[in-house]
Amino acid sequence: MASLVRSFGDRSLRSLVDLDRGLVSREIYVNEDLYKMELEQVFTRAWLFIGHEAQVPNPGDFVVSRMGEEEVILVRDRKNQLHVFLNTCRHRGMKVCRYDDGNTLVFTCPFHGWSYDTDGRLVGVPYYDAAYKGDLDKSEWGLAEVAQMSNYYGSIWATWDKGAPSFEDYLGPYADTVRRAFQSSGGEDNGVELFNPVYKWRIPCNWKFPGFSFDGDRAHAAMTHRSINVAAIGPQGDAGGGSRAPIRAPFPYTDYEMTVPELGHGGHNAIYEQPGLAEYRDTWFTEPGVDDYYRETREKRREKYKDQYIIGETALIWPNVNIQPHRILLWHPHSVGVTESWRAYPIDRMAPQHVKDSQRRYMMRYGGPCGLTESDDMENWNYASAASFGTVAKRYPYNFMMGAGHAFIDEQQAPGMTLNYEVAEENQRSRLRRWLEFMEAGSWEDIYPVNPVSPSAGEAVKSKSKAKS
Amino acid sequence: MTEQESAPQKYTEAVGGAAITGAANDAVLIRDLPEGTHVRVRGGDVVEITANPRDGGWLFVKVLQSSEPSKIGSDDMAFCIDVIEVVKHIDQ
Repeated sequence: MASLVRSFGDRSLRSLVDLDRGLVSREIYVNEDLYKMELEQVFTRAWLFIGHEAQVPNPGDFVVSRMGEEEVILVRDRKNQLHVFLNTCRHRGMKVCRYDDGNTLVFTCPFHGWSYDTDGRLVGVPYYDAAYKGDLDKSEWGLAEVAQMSNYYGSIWATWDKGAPSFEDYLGPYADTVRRAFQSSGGEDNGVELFNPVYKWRIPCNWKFPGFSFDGDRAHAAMTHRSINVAAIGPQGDAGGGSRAPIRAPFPYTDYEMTVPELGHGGHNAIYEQPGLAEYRDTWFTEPGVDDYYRETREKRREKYKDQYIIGETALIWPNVNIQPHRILLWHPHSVGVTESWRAYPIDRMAPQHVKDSQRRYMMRYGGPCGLTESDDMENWNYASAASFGTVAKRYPYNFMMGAGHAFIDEQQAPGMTLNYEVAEENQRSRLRRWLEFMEAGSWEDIYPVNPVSPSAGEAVKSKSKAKS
Repeated sequence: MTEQESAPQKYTEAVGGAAITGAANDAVLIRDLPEGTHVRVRGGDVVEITANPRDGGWLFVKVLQSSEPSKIGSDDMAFCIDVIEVVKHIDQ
């Protein structure tokens, strides 16, 4: 398939993604053949976010998730081991699980009755003795299981590719960011659970519209979110200007677009100019009692990190998930022009119920299908997608030139990262670069250890070093 | 052979087919049988339900009586159409 698309018309893949000039063909967002190639080249190869172990606390608990277009089952077996299985019977392909979540002893196919234990073994085959007469070796017909699974501080990730690097290596410099995102607000590892259920809805755009722009497109906020920025949906109401974000105490930092171009991850991240964390500033004026909890946990977190320089609280982990301390945003490909959007909301496991409720209400009005912020975003992603499918429209490339040629590295303050001005398109170019590498690669050997980035005219990386104060 | 003469044979085949597919309307419905219930399965073994996934298809069982002594005490699974009789009920 790769060879077919590499000779896509008279254009090669590289001609569709011209990072030297910051020009990207709309074809990569609308072309059916390229989309099908992505499912194989990207989504069977990359590490993908599956869920959280708190969703399946007891033996037999399961929750259905997705990898690319395909459903998978995250299940805790009777020996307490976690597994991720493809949700399809090995006999004739029927889904063996048709619930979003639950608890079960076995997954029994409703078609012919093949039945699988929670560890994936095929344990029940109707007419086994009478009809198969010993010809069927059940041990060879268990559920299809992912090649690798990682329980990373409670978050569950998986890949279909046994040649993929370890998950921690895959994260590279963003490993600590992801780890901290799954800590409680007090800094306890694996300290969160997810609100149930996960939000799921479909939007009419290619998955890369949200996936490649989120946490990499600060330029959109002033225009797109003009209305929500003045709607005072933050926990403080209209106090302090009514921002949609909580009030924070002052702390010396600089915001950047920050990315690891060799891996495709990146976010809008602050580099703090001094070690430690800001003190807590009351902000939950509309939800009495919540500040008391967060003030106490912040002090624990400040104590834990008092000597460390913190970099980055959020990250888009290539290819399709954005990890934040209170939000996990997933964009599953559903078809070339449809994305299944999922939102999961982590909350401190040990938080009092009124804190959990307050956080949930805030997140619901902030994001998700009915949240005000993402309603703004969806309007743009959906109509940009629709306006890119046209025969004439496809003649005009997208412009990804913002900040090209102005990236720099600062190994002292942000090891392994490439930085740019806080309003840039560095992260989007980084994701496009990684997309191209995945699409062209024959195997993981071609893309990890990461290929040396060949800085182009538009991607020249300068070195800049600042001494820490 | 006349149609009248063949009728009993057709009837026998139909009953046999129903037994294999579980289509008989007097089939034992296993979905809600509680753990501890004893049932007889095709072939004559009597088994005790050790776990019921309540999918209507399968039961986890322990063999209590069998013509093959080596099977007694072993764990097994019983498919719905192989359950032919409840021999000991358990009050839920």
